[in-house]
Amino acid sequence: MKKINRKELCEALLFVEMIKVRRIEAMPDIPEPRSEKYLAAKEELLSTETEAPRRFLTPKKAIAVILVAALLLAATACAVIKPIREFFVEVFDEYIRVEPIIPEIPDNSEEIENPDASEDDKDHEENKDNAETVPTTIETAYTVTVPEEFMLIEDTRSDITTSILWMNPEGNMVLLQQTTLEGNELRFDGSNAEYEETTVDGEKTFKHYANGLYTLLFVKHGYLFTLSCSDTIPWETIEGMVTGLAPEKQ
Amino acid sequence: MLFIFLAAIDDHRYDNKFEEIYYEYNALALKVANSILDDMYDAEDAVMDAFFGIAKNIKALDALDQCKLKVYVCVTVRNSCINIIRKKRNSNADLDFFEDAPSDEPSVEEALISKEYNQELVIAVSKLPVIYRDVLIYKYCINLSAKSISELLGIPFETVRSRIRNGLKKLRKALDKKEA
Repeated sequence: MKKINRKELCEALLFVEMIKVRRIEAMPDIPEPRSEKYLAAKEELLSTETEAPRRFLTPKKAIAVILVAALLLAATACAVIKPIREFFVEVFDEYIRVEPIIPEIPDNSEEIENPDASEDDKDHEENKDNAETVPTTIETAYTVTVPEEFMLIEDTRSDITTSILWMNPEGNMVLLQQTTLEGNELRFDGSNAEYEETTVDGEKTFKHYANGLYTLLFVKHGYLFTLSCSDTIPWETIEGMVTGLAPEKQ
Repeated sequence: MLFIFLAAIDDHRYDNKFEEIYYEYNALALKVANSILDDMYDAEDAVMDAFFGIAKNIKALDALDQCKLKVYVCVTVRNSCINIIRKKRNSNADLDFFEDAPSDEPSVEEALISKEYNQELVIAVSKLPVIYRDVLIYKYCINLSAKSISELLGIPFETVRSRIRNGLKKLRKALDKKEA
């Protein structure tokens, strides 16, 4: 067995290594990389020793902006609430509120021109004239011509009314009442009654029938006349009586 | 970067020595590591680890000549690369890079033609696996103790001793085979 000399061994080891080292040294240099460890250490060092870059939005700025916004909101709250309230009221009225349909009432403040207005005005004027000329007491008493078989039963008179009652042997009656147009009250029994408006002797006459008795109401010569007759008397006779209305002979 | 390594030196009388080594061999160390790892970032990590080891043993390096120093740096970087590869558990790593010389480069035998070395021994050493060769370099060239080698390589003390013993055995065996 050959003994290995320490010096020779060392030289051999270095010789072998140097060959390989020279081969590596002959290689082109490589750029020095920056390993992750180095970059991490560099970042840590920079972060601790350098000032942090200024940020646009810092917590203090954010708080200041919020406060200013709150103040502005509070200042404009009154101005904002009113239109909002009006808006909601309008929306409620427009879409939610239910209103009963009420027909429009024509405004009477303006007079509507009516072709009949002139005639009505005339009548109104005449009535006004009549009212002015209407006698307040019975100045002229009127009577009717009744058939011959009728006999005068009662004749009552006052300043404002006259009442003349005739009756025939069969019990049929004719009652003529003359009253002034003012200061009197006229009452009718309306139960089971028939009403009719007719024209007798050119005057508007209100015809009333109830319980076998005709009652005619008409205005003539400034007085209100009421002629009551039994229904057994022919209507022509009754019309004749109205037509024959005339002042009493003194 | 240098100040980090300087912080690892126990005796600051050797700071200047370390600075010389660092600036002299940093580029070479990087190339060695990159040639093994083929990754620049891993290579720099390996170099950093290697220089930490060098900083810890700077006292032992003070008396070494330039040739031994260069070999020591390269061997340390290579072992750092091996440790990184072990950590990554990359079985495909080229651990025997130094054994596979390119064809256009002069072989150990060719380099020995004009040299007066123990040619048989050099050839045997060149064929020795790198794990044995490194511990032998540390032991007989750099004069590091087995304990220092185990700390430097990050392997158990017994492993270092067994590698030294087995390395020498292999060399003797190779030489005996040649002689026979």
